[in-house]
Amino acid sequence: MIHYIDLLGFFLIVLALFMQWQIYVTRVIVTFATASMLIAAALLYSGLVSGRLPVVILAALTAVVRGITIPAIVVRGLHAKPHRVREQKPVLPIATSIVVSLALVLGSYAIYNLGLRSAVGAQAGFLPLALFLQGGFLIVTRRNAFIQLAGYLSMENAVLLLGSLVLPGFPFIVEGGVILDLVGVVVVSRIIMRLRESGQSGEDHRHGELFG
Amino acid sequence: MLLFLSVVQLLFVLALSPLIVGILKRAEERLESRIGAPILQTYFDLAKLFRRESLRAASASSFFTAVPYVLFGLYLFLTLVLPIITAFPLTFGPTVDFIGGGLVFGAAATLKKIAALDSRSNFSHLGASRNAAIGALSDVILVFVFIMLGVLSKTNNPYVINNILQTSASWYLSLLHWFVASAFFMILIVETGQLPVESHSTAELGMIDQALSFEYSGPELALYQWAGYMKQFILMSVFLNVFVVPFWVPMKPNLVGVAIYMLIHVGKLVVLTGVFALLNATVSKYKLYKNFDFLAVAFALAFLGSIAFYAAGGGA
Repeated sequence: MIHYIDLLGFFLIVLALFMQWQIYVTRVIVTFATASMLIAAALLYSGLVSGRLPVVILAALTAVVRGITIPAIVVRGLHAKPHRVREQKPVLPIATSIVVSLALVLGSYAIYNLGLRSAVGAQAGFLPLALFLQGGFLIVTRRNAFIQLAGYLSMENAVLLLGSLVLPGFPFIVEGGVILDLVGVVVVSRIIMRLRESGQSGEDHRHGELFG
Repeated sequence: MLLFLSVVQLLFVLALSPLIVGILKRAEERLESRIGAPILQTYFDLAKLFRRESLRAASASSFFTAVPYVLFGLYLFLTLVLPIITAFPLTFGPTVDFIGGGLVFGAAATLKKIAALDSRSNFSHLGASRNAAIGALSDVILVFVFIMLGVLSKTNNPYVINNILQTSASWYLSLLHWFVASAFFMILIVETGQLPVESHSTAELGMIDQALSFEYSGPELALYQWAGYMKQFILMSVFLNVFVVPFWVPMKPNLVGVAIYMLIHVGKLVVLTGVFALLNATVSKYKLYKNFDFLAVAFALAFLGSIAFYAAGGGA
């Protein structure tokens, strides 16, 4: 019988493939919100079964921050920039991206079995690794900043999935902190996007340190 | 008894395949707030075409005229070997397995393309070219799906696969099964020409399958269209009986059981037709080259099924 975390991992990979398929930013963001809600549901189930309150709180935080707040911030930012509602020209053709994504899943499986499985133990531990690579791949294959942000957030989801798979007792405060940090990342990203689009050199200079 | 049931199955598909298309067209019209033609309109259209004169382009050979008859025969053969109203093999069931059935479908598709080329019509050539480009990928995915079902059941026999999925909840709920079922659904959309892949309009530039029959007329066009209806009926039946709703299909020869199931099967088909109608009324058509993205996703789903099976503990 397949474990529910493995099931979640496969759902998340399907959603990541769906993100690769889509060119409209809203659909990508809604897909990310769905993935976050699935993770929240899995955490809630895990917390209720094990009777650990911090995991239940983490589930609620995940749903509120990743499932609702961040997508809402991004979609709101999108309304102000109609030219950004879709990817104009992906770096790679979509079909090629999907096939490469599959190769990444296969590569993750090989890497995991060769080097990590003995340490981690879980049979489907390659799924978070695959999801992480797919998030990164979404960033490099798209030019639209909002979709790149969704790719980064998917990588974050992968880390959370890995945490719940490998370290079920991972300190709540660390995971909670990371989730709240994401709001900051999204806000900073929106500021950077606004600065880029304003194209004012003085503004760029004043906020230069934000570009990293 | 098996021979009798074979004849019943043949007549069932022959008689009801135009009805399912009629229901689909009617449902689409109703969803678009139009009255639409009666669901029996497809029968009237076929009858009208059978009465019409048969014309052949001067540049086409006799092969062009022969193809609709061969197509009709091939799809009649497929109705005899696939699980449509029974989950036990009928008289001709052992003739081919899933891969063999796929090859017969492939042979029919190839004949359609060659006939379209033989017609010397530019639009038919355009349809044949598009059909070949899409078929070169969709047929491979179809074979991949069948192979993964073979892995699940350790056989390529569709009847055995149905029996396993009917009786084993763990296989029915497995990731492998649902991934390949999803991939097959996407291929079903491609093969039956539903949206978002193909819209049935009079705009030649968007046509794929529809353009292949441009030069046919009279009884040949009637047979060509009827063969297409049968193909759609058979593929929908396979999707329902082997992939998604394998339940209630009689696993033992029983005339009453088969008769009751025939009614249930019509109900299953009507529900699936409703899903197609909803898709056709709500989804917009892809640009031609976006169809390859659609196929890539279908391939990805089938491939993930194999990963779920081999890498994540069998998928069950």
